[in-house]
Formats: sequence, structure tokens, C-alpha cells
Amino acid sequence: MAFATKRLGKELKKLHESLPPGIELVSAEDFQDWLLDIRVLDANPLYLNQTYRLKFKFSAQYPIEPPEVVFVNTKDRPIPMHPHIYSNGIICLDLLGSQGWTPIQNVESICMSLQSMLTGNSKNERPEGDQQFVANNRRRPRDIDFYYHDNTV
Amino acid sequence: MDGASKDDALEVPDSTDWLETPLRSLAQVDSALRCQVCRDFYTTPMITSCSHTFCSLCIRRSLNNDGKCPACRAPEQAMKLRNNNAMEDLVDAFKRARPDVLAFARTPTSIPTSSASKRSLEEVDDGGEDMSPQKRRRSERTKSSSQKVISVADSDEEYTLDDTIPCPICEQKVVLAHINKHIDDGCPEEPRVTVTKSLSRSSRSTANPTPSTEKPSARPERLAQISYSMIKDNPLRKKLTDAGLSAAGNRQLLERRYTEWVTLWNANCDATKPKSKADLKRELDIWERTQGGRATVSSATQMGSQIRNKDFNGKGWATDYSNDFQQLIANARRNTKAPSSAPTPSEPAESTTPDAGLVTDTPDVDTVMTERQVDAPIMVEDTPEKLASQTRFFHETNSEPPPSSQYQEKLEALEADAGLASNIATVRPMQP
Ligand SMILES: [Zn+2]
Ligand SMILES: [Zn+2]
Ligand SMILES: [Zn+2]
Repeated sequence: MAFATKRLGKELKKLHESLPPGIELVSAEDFQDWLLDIRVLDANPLYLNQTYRLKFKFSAQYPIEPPEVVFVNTKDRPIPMHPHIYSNGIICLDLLGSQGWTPIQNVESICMSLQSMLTGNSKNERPEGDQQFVANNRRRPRDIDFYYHDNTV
Repeated sequence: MDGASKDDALEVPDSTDWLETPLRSLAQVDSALRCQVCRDFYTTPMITSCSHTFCSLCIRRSLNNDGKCPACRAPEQAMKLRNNNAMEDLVDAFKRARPDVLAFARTPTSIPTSSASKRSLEEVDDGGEDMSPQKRRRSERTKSSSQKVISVADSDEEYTLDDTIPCPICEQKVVLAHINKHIDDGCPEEPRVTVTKSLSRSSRSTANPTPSTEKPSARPERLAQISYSMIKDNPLRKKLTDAGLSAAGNRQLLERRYTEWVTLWNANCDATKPKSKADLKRELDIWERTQGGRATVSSATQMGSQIRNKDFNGKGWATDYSNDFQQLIANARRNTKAPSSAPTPSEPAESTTPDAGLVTDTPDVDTVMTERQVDAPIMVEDTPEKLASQTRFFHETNSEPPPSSQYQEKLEALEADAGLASNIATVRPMQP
């Protein structure tokens, strides 16, 4: 059995058994695409009573390579407002890029990082240039070279 | 990979197996003996110069990818890796003991139903360790009140697993739960069916594990990873054919194939019991089908290349493994009948309502994510300055603890739970 399949199988078993609060497995019909829902646990007014849907896309190189993770917009699942999250759901998080990723990260730890990223945010805004990015981007998230050193905040 | 390791994966033995038994604390032992990259028990554990341990193959693949330790991101080189023999012995011993201990822990008589039986079970739990005179006395005292449980912990012969069956091939008595693995493993000798023996007596645990100092006489020599910028196509093809490998495919595939071969080969050199070259070729064949030339899923992101196969078939990889997947799901479900055992003392009442609807709407973002040949790279930003100003970074968010103390409590609660601690640690800000 392939490396990625084996590891994902182990993760899936664990996801079925127990998950940290505010994280839910929505669907995992194969070893390519999984959907998970996350909620923010504190009373941050930006995200109060909202649930957000994440789509994970795994390559055969997982976990050597990071999965592709985006928020998806559905009827009752908006894209969370955050200065690092574009309105098309693409997330700018160093953990998900090849520089910040390490193979000991996993689906659960990514979800928890995103929860914590939302929890810690107080800005009700999109990344600068969001409209332009969303209108023009045709690349997959992991092919986009985000810069992760911050000099804007 | 051979049938045995495949079978391993389908059973998905996991450190959480212990959480639904009275021996919950073994989950942490189980978890500590697993590689954080593959989540499996260490296979040929290697220690890095930053003192982290991974399977030889896992760390070598990681280093091929980014040259950093997966745990702490310290720069590391494959040539600095050293065998962690103590860990290998530990894993071997634990793997041998695990099925019996788990079967013992799952025995229905051990499931606490009242506070009274819970108390005696705690003592049985102690009995699993070396029987100090004091503990023994305590157990014997309890014996009168709770005969059944004590006989499990204290006796050598009274308690035998009922659910053994004769193997249809070799006719040994095999624990029912292990029969598939036993057959797949080619009918290895089944050492014991009496659970108590291995638990209450120290004879087995003190038996010396096979020393890993004995090296086979003809140990294969490690191969050097080659610097691909220095080697032309034809010499590279020759290297592949000299190794008995396929030299088909484009340049990128040739490089990836040779890299994988050197990785498999060198990891095998680390092994206490190296496999045959034929076995390694079978493993390379699996790689070829899942990630190499015969893979149906684009691996174009590797090395930043945009080469895409014309007849790209994204479903292929999933379909190949859909049977595996169904079995994994079935196994996972079967193992989830026990109630969730995660400690959630501070669970907010309103937050526990699960979303019943499992409807998965078609994500709008798919239009963005569609595999598309990028003819002209579309730049979002024009200038480096603008790039810097538009970019957003996680570490500044992450470098301060979440303001919610509730969340922090959860982290601590989870950290106490085995198998999660390492994951939690990685959520914390990394040192540059
Ligand atoms: Zn490993
Ligand atoms: Zn390290
Ligand atoms: Zn047999």
C-alpha cells in the first residue's frame, strides 16, 4: 500500500474516533479529498455561531508534501473573514506551504492551527488585493508563492 | 511493500486502541514507539543529529524533500543519521507483546461496569506490572471479593483466551483476531495463547531481545545521491540500467526514480535485517505505480515543474485504492463502537451539537482549483515591495497564545491524551 494511503488511513481512523472540540469530519470518501468543518471555540464576535468548511486535497507524496487546504463556500458555510484568507477560500498560512510544512503535521493539527488563526484575529478584513487575486488567480494554492515574512503588521 | 505491511495498514492498529480499554496509559507507550511521519511503529529507526528519531525511509524521504528534520526543522543530512538500536529493540519487543496485551485488555471481564469493579480493575492494572509484594498482597485481598478479575491478573494458567482457532494452514492455535495477519505473514510460530503468562510473569519480558549488534556479513554498501545538475541524460540512464531499473521516461522522472531507488537502497542498508534487492525492486514498483511513471495522479508540483500528463486521470489513484479504502473505513467504524474517550471536561454545552447533515455541497472554489495548464503565469503582485505588503503571515498570529483560555485548557486536556501531544506541539510557533 502506498505511503500516503497508509498514513491517511491511520489519520482517518483517529478522526472517526475522536476529534478536538470544534472540528468535525464531514466526508472522506477516498484518499484524495476530505471535507472537515471547524468552529472557533471562543466568543470572537467575527466568527460567533459560524461553521466553516475546509477541503483537503492530498497528493501521493503526502505527508512529505503538504495537502492543499482551502475554505469552501456553501449555502451555510461562508469563507471566514481574515486578513490571510482570500474570499475564494485560499489560505495564506506558512504551515501549508512547502517552506512551513513538515511531515509530522496532519489533518488534525492543520485544523487546530486554523482554529487558532481565527481565534487570534480581530481584523474584519480580507487580504490586500483580494479582489484582484480572486479575479486573476488560476493557480493551485500550493503553486502560489506567498511570502511569509511579515512587515505589514 | 509486502502483504504483511499491507495487512498492518488495513487493521490500522493505532495508539488509540488502548483508550477504550482499562490500560489507557499504554496509549502513550504505543504512541512513543511510532514514527511521526508514517504513524507506524518505527521501521529501522534512525536518530538525527538533533536527536529526533524516524524510520530510515521516512527521514530519508523527508530529507530528500527539504533537508530538514521533520520534528524541529533543523538542517540535517542523510549521512549524519545513526541507527537507534535501543528503539528498534523496544519496538520489536512491544510489537510482539501488543496483540496479547490488547486482547487481554479488551477481554469483557475487564470492562468496568460499577465503581466497585472499577476499583478492582485498577489493581489489575497494577498487576500488569511487576508484582511488588505490596501490590500482590493488595490483589490477594481483593481476590475473595472479586474472584474473576483477580484470576486474570494473578494466575498463570487459569485464564486462557477462548477465542482461538486452529489455523487452517498450519493448524497452530491462533487468536481469532490475528488469524488474517498470521496467514498473511506466512504462518509464523505462534508463541502463546495464554494471555496471563506474558503479563504476570517476567520471564518473557526479561528474555534478551535479539541484539542488533550482529551485522550480517555481506552488508550492502550505501549509494551516493547524485548531483543531477552534474550528470547528463545518458550517464543517468546508464546508472539506472546498471542498477537494473527502467530508464524510461522524461528527465524529471529519471531523476525522481533514481532518487527513490537510492533512498530505498540506503534505508535498506540501515536495516538490521536487510531485504533482498528483489524486494527493493518491488517497493520501487509500488512507488512507480503511485508516484512515478505509472502514477495516474499528477505529481507535477514536484520540483516546481508544470509537466502534466495529457491523459491525466485524477480518479485513478483513488480508484486503485478504493478497496483498501473501503476496508479501512469498515475497520475504523468497527473500532469506534466504544464511546469517545477523549477527556472533555470543559466542553461548552452549546458547542457539542454535531452537524447532522453530511451533505457536501459542491465547493465553489473548485473553479479556482481546477487542474489547468498555466500558459502564462498570472502574477497577482507586480513588484517585490507590493508583494511584501500584500503578503500575510501566520507566525505573528501564531506566536501569541490564543486569547481564549478555554482553548488553552483544551490543549492541555488533549496533551494529556496520548498520541496527541506531539501534534499539539507542532501547532505552537516554530523557532526560526
Ligand atoms: Zn516512519
Ligand atoms: Zn530534529
Ligand atoms: Zn498458519
